[in-house]
Amino acid sequence: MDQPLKILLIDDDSDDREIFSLVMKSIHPFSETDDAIDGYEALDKLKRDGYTPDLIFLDLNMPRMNGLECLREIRRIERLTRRPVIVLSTSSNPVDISASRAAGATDYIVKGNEIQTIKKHLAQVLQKYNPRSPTHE
Amino acid sequence: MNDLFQDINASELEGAAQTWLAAIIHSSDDAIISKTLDGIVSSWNEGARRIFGYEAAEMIGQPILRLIPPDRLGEEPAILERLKRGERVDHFETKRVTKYGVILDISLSISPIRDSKGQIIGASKIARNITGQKEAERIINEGKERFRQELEDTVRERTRELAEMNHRLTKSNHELEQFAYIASHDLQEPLRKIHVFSELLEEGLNSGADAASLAKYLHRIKNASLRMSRLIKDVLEYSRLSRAELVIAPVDLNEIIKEVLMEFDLSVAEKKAIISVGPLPVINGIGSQFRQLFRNLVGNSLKFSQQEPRISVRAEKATPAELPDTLPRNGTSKFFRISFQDNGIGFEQQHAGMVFGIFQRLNSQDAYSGSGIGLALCKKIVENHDGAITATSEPGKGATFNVFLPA
Repeated sequence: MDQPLKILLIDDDSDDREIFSLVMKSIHPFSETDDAIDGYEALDKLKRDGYTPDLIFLDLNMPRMNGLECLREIRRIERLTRRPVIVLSTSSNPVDISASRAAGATDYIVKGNEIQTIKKHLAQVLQKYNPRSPTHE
Repeated sequence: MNDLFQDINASELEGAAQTWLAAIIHSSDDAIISKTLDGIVSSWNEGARRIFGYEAAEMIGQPILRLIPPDRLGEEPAILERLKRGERVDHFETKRVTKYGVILDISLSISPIRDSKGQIIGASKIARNITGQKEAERIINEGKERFRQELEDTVRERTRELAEMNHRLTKSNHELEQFAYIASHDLQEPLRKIHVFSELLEEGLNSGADAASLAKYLHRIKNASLRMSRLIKDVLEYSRLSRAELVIAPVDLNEIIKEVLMEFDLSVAEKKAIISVGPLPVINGIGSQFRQLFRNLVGNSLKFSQQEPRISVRAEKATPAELPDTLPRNGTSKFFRISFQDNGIGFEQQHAGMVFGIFQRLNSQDAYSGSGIGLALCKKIVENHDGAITATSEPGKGATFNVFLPA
């Protein structure tokens, strides 16, 4: 009956992709994380008919097309204008945070050093933005 | 008592004094001349003869103008004017000409002569030949001027050197700051991974996870630590790149490329690469740095390829118009342009400036390994040699790196 929670992670770093999907599985077993290694691959996927993830996580510092450019492109896709896009970056620089907000990010998480912190942050985000969590009913 | 002249009458005394005076005038080194207020010579002593060459008979009754060089004829009326007003002219330095046409430096003192009623009837003129003194002054002044000029040149040169040094220092400080910031950020990356995967490993061990996932975490940790050690090595290599301690000598780039291609033998064969090299120049510089420059550029072209790599290395004299802005285009500074052209994946031209930044990567770590320091090293090497490096490319159409080095 229920569809799994569909998540798209856009990150060029394979370690971070691995960490993310492990953590996501542990805090939300009923989730499905798809990934893209850069903005181009992500946009290819997102422009495909019928592919609308519930949540998008986006790294900022990526080769070829950086996270902000990618975010602006995502917001141009009509069915994604209001989808939660959470920036996931190693940078805690306020300049990056406000630039992300300006480009249309829903929230901003600094990539943590500790697994518990990462879990906590992702759990908070799921709580806040998961369209299927009770607060969104 | 004190009456040595008691038997001599007043007129005899005056006559004796006149004789004395005449003797003094005769034996003076200086020219002592008298003239009327019309400028006609009325007496001419032995000194005047020695200085100007004319006998008394040649000059008495003649205008004093004979002694004045044509370009100074205007002086005489002015002098006569002052004399008529009863004024003296003291130590007036000017030029006069001798009978033989030689121009002398002269110091003139002229005073009015009055008759018994106090009327001005002429002038006495004492002329001292100061040509030797003037010459000595001129030589001293020339020496002073030369010294001042040399001192000024030295100061200017030192100032320029200081300014250049200052510029280099400012630049290197700025680079260092950027470098520290970027290096610390990039060095944090693998550390963060090591930490997270260690924790996952720990969790896995506690929860009895299967050996395969534990091995996977270990593998990630090992890779991150390898990456970190490579980064540290590169950072060290980059910071060591200076021209201070190394010898500048003529380097035959034909030899350098030959050596570098030998190093790449294996990967050239593996990738079925074809590398063509034109004749290259001999350039003054640091051989080991040129080797590294060529190694990085050829290595880059081999790495960023999807099809069989075609790489061409060519050198030409650069025209002033094609020189990058950072190089002097005054036409006297000559440069070689050494181009490395490939048929690789290329990049967007808008990122051309970025590729030389330290730890800048245009491609994902997964697809193309490397710390992102190679081209930053190339830039530093080329700049160490007072050159410049540029990149032009289009995605999918290969890239060309142009290295400009002083010929």
